[in-house]
Amino acid sequence: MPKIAQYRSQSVIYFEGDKSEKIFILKAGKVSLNHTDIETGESLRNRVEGGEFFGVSSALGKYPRSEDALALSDTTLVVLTATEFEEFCMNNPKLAINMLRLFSTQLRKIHSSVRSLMHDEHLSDPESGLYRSGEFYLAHQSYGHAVHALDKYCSAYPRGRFIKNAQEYLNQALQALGESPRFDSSSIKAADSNQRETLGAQLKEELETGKVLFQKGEFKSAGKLFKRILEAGVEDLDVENTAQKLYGQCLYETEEYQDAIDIISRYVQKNSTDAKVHELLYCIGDSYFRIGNVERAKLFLQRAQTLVRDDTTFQEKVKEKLSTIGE
Amino acid sequence: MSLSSLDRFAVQYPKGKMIFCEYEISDSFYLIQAGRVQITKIIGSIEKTLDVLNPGEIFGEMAILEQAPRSASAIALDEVLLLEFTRQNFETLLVGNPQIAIKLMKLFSKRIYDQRRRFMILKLANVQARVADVFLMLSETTPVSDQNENRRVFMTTPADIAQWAGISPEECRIIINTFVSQGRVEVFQDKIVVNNIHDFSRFVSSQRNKE
Repeated sequence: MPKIAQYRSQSVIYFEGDKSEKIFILKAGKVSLNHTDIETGESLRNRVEGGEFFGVSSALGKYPRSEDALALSDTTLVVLTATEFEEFCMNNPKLAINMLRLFSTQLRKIHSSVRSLMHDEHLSDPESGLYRSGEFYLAHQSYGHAVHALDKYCSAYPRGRFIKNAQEYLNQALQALGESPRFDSSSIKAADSNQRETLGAQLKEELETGKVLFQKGEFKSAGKLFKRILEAGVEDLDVENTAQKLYGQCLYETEEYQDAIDIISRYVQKNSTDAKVHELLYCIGDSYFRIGNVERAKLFLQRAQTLVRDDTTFQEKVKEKLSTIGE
Repeated sequence: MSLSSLDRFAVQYPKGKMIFCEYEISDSFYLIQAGRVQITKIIGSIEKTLDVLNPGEIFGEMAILEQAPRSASAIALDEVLLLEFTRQNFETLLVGNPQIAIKLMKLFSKRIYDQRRRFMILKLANVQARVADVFLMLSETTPVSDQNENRRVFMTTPADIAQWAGISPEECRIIINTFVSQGRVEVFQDKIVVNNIHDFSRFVSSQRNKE
């Protein structure tokens, strides 16, 4: 049975980090939920409205409380166990739905925060991911799964970067299952392989031209070339990587910081062993600084710093930047 | 609970059939009625099983929030009977079936906590502290019989730790080897032993304060 509990003004209902399966409803009085914003480090206070539930998420998920709950005046609360709360929801579907909506908003927010710190390959390049999954299953003779992945690829990306290979692999997988091929494979090959080779060679040449322009400091025109290479859907991974890395640096040099952050982060995520990764992290850090995101700027500069210990010139450069920021 | 009114949402998958593939973009989520569902992910050159779900469980629920690529694949482990919902029709479903709303609430609370914890880890600039903090997180979610015991055993690998810490597997191996040479950690084929979890806890909080 739900119980009634009384709290004196200024007393603590629970502390952050406590584990408990109690859920509260504010009946009378004033309650404040205090927590530290994990992104900004700012202390936030939220007043609970009369009749509102609190402590739900931690009690249901059986996780430690993520905030302090304080009584601001003499307060009366209804206290439920997680099981009692569930019974309550069974009789009040509207409440359950509203609560779920609230959780969804919170979850979406924290998801996007996590994403901003970590480049998620599932979001950055789902096209190549789906294609590679198909390729993987085909190579491992899981033909049914290969058909699923490649079929989804072909319908989602009919003009995709890997479409010709995907069609061909899909045919192979279908054949292995004793089904008839979906695409006319002779025409896939003939029409495409020539065209593909010419395009590949052309993009390689453009990359070389881009490198020369980059060396000369002509970042605008070099950037345009790299962008085109990336958009053309180059198949040679080395070419793609080099183009991406240099394109990011061009954007940084031409002060398009937001795009620079995006492109360079993508590159770093895939190539964390690049010998120059500290320089790239520096570019990301400085870009954040230029767009006024000091927190993030510090984070990346400090990371760059921890990666190289023996390059004193670089260390100095980072130190100087950090002191400009006010660290 | 009566779910008979939900027959029109029922879908059937034969054993071994893929329900959705990692990276696929779709907006359905599923409630298992019968049979088991395997959740897998391709990591490097192997397909890893992340979870096996049983009747009554929900999967693919992130589709309710946003239309994003799937972060893992779902495969029918037995002949499977599912209810398939989309963002458009799920509210109708919840009004008549609050037990599903409760299930989702529980799933989401767990996710919110996990993601907050993950954010705290990723926010550490010092990568060694990140790795140590991943062990703390794992220790928080695994119940222990004796709180005073310092030693903790984790059924995990450096590659898994790397994913949580947001660093490359190579970098993670180097860091863990440093811990090994300091006598703080022991690495086995299928598990990692942290000799003093409280030592890690002090290390992480001092880093967090410094930063």
